[in-house]
Amino acid sequence: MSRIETPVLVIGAGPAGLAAARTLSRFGVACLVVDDNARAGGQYFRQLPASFKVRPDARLARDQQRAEDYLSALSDPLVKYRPGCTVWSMPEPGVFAFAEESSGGRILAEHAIVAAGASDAPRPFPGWTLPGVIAAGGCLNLIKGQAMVPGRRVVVAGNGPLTLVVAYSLRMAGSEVLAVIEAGRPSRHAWAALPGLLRIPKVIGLAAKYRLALLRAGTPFIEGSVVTRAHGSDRLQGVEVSPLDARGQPQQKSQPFDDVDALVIGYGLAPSSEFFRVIGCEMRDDEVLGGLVPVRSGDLETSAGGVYAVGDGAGIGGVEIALLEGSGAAAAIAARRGVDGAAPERDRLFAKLRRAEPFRASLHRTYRLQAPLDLATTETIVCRCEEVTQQQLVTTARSFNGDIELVKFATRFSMGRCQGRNCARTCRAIVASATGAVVPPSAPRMRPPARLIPISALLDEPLLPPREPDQVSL
Amino acid sequence: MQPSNGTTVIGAGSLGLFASLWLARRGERVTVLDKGTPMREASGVNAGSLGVQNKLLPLVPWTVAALEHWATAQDLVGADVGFSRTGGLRIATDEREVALLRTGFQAQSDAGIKLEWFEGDEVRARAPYLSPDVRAASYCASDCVADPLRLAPALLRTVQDLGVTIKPSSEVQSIERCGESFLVRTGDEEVVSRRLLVAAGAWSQPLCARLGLHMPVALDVNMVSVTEPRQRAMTEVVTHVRGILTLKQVANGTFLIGGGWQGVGDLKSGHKDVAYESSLHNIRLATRIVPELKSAMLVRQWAGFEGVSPDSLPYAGRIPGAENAYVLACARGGWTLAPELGRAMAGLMLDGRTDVSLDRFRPERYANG
Amino acid sequence: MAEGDRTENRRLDIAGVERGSDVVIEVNGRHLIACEGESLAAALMRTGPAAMRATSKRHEPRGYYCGMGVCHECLVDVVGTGLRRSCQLIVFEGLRVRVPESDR
Repeated sequence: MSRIETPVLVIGAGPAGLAAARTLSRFGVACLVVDDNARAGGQYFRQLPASFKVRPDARLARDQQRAEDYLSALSDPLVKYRPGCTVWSMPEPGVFAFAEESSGGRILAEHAIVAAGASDAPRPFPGWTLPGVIAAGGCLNLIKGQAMVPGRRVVVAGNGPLTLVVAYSLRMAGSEVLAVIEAGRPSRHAWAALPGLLRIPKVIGLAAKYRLALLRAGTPFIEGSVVTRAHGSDRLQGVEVSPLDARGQPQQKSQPFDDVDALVIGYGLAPSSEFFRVIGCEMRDDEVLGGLVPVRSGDLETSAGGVYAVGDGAGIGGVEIALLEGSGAAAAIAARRGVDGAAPERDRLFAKLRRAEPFRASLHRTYRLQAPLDLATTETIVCRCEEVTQQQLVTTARSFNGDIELVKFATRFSMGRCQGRNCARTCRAIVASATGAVVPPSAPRMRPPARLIPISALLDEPLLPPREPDQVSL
Repeated sequence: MQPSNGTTVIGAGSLGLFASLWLARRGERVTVLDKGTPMREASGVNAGSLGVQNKLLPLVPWTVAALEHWATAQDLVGADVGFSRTGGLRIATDEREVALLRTGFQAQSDAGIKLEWFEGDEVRARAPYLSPDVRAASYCASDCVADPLRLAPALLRTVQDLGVTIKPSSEVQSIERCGESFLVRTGDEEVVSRRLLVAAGAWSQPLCARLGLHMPVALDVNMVSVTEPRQRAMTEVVTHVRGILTLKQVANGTFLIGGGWQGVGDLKSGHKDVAYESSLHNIRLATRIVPELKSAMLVRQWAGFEGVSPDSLPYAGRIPGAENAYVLACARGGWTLAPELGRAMAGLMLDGRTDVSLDRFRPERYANG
Repeated sequence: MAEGDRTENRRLDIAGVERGSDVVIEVNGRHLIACEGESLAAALMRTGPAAMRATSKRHEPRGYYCGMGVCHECLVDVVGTGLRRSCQLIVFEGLRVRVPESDR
């Protein structure tokens, strides 16, 4: 089926998207939820395969009750759901190009709520590309989505609340967490940030619970330190940890951890904003929100009329804010469509969001670093897809006086399969600091497809007769 | 005003920069003005084909000469620009196209180009990656490829090392005569020079109008689609005889799909975008010709401007009635031809003559409509 | 890795979860017993070496990293298809893949 019509398209079946679908259906507005994964839930509500049976004693750290509650939204008669479906472009307002495994077409929707979530922000350091070094989100996906741990002797490192979640989940799943290496000093900074953090009290409770569990397990929680090196031949074997000095840079001395099965690194999340950039939304760079995010109205509408942005994909804020934003945007759309009772619900939700908003900045403050972390050395790969080392990047940057496009052409950084998601931010920072050039955060416009799509998905949709190019030579 | 020397080039694309290169090699002082970033328009967004077979006949000798420069690009611009002698296959898929291909084959052979003809099963024996849809193909060993993304930084560095001054983000506001010199004003600056070269591609028409020349330039918005890297399947560059497809697999294994299918855009706003249906037709045609593509992932699409003349031949020569003013633009295949056309233009500007006549490309050929 | 051996598999499994029924796949020509519904990445990680591919320029080992289809590090050579993200590919009977050999 290559032409689908729906009043509202929800892109993403994670917390924000599910909350949106639930609220829409409660207001009698039909919607279509699409997600490129095979199973709904996104990252936070990630589910096991249907064929796996979970016993009551299962050592899985997950928010399952709430997950099932929100996932049930997909069973509502007003909600249609298509898994394995990637929305990759918006050829014109209200027309969304989609691709599935071997078919595709267009979704026509008056409104869209984009809840594309976030991915792990990259932080290159020597050995970070070794098999066995995995991202925090990747570790949680293994636990919640595959009922397995990446290793039985694990070091967890990074900066931000995710490392705590990961360590706790691993511990609960029975792995030995050799240490949690936190680059910031949350124990110190949390106090000053407390008022803001208490806007979402649940989080404080969870953090305390996780810390206590690790304490009881005897897991060292080392603040102000970083993993400076992961080593091994064809996979990870050990890591080295160094404290940060007064300037916030790693010291020379290091503590080794040997026989490490897995190193899980979590240096924060970055919003998945590709779709907004492909459709030409006005964007802004916001450090607290995790990077490039779409400019939004009070109703969470982007500069592309009818397209709303919610959840981590619009700015990192965690699950509670994502749920509120998903519901809020849905209520706003319902109000726009004249549904009774939607406007007051919209107002109530946005009031809640405003009260919760300071949480973001407070969390950021809690985990703030003295100085930007610079862990890469000359030989460190900084663009994983195209295998570009920091040395190559710096040398090329200097030879082009920091012209980022020329550096990109010459090194091909950000031109590989991940299209810069694991390197653009760090590479741009390296170029800027190596040359003193002012590198704009990113040209806001990105070209389609927003994500890689199979060409086989593009072959069957009925099209108008072609207007072939004039027969000329090239 | 003192008579001055030097040349101002308007447009830092491939044509403007190669002309600057050859001028600077002769000791000429050159300033290049570009309204945006150098090498970022047609020169930066094309798919990198360097073909002989698909050129209009008058361009064949120019192409052959240009390819000699490309073959020694390492010397010319001091870097590897991804030049590769892939050879090229020009294909036909039905009777009408086979007839068209045969005509072109004959004309090009008569012009001295060495071509081989394949038909039916011979096509697949020669190029197993082509589908049975391809009924006939002509092969030319001289068709090759290079990488625009590698040329750009190398060419920029080379001309700057030769002392050429490049001013990006410098849109021309006015062009005045000052005695025997030209005074060109951009937002911030004034540049004075003896000679002026308009090499502004799609933007050349209004600039020439300022100099009293009507030189019609139509806008093409060409699209390219790129796949993920794949195992080596294609060796040759494939072009369709009707010009509706170019297909190549470059050194890193990615496929580039092009062919002049039109995106959307306009010069005034500078807006350019991929046209959904048009790009899908382009991709579908590519998969019909090389079925291997059906299992590849699409990574990126983009659209770029190209300025074209009514007969698809370059504008190259003096601007009549404006002494010491010249134009070099809209070559349709300009990326291939730039090294040689640039050299010829430098010769014309400094010596007043060229080895091979540029008369067919005279800028005033449409001045009267 | 021993043919059809599930002992090694259990080491990384989380207790209290009954995995799906057996699905036989082929890795470097050898049979591997995976579970219905799991991803290829998980099947490989539970049983074998962590390297899923070698990079094209520097021939360096890479494996699972982000688990959400973004990084493309977990690409595995699926016989007859090409490289596919193993974290997104759900195992099926008869799936054949090639990964770098190792000592483990």
